[in-house]
Amino acid sequence: MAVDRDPSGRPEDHDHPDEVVARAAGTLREITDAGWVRAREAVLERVRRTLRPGPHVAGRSADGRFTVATPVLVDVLRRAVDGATPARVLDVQVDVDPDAELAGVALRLSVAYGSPIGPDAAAARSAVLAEVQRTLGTALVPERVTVDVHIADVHVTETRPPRPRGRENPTPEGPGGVPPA
Amino acid sequence: MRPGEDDAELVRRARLGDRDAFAALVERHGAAMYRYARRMLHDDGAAEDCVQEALVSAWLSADRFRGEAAVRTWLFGILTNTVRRRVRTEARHPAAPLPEEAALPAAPGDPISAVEAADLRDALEIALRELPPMQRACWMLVEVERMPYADVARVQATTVDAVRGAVHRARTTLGRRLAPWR
Repeated sequence: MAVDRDPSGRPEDHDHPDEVVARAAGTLREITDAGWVRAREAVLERVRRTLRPGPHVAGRSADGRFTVATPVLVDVLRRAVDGATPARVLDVQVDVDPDAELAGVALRLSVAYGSPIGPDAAAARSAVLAEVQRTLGTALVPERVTVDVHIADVHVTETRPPRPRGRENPTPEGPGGVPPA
Repeated sequence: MRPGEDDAELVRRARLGDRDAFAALVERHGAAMYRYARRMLHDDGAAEDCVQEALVSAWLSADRFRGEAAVRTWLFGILTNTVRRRVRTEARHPAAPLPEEAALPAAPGDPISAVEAADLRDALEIALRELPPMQRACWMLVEVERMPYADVARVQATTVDAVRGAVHRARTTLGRRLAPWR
């Protein structure tokens, strides 16, 4: 019995008692259906036009008040934080009060292995504050609007974050500057 | 899509509302989803409808995806449910035959081999249609999409043993039907 290794890396019992059947499966695997070639654009367009439902949050401009759907705000906040820190956003919760005013933002982050947690969290919070002001036209008042950051995971990046200056013989560090156990 | 970006990174961004990341997932998995739907439904229009409905549903529910399964398994699970609903709806209406011009080759190659492969594929398409839906579905996912049994069991909402049995029976039947090609 032949044993293949499946795409997930787990040995799987893909025994092929019949070589012709395996070859036939291969012919099917290698083709792209003409129907998909024709349908692809329409499917992509339909997905792009589909809006996720969500409450609206108020913004202000010189012309007056406007509203933004919270899924849109979540998307721009994720982009802002991803662009400002080596951390990855895992989740963004936007809290809106009954008057559609922004009441709070909660971030769940995964920090890059070896990257200091405190500065990453601070950078993420700053990125949220700046993006909210840019998108909604309103500065967040700390007493009224909270920005909570929770570090939920650690990930390994291909390019290590820059080390602090002045360290000639750095030791390997875990998150928060703590050497790994 | 940046080169080398894996499904997990794309779905992370898609969960948080990034349409480009979700479109990249569609580009990556759409053809396989269509291939599966078409063999289950025998109709281009129905396959397109189901793939579109499944992908829209995946986009709308992506923020609830927690990564318990591979992205492909998640997408095929949604598609399988969509296809089943379609089959139930259309049970009263016999399926139209597959058109002659069914597929585009992936790339030009040796003309003789290409013709032989196309003939073998046509024979397989006919043999597949005669399989019971569960056997056809499991065989497609295991042998064509190279999905592990455990993932197929999750997609089909059944057990690994049931998948293994269905694939075994499908192989036996297909082997018999494709015997002239040996």
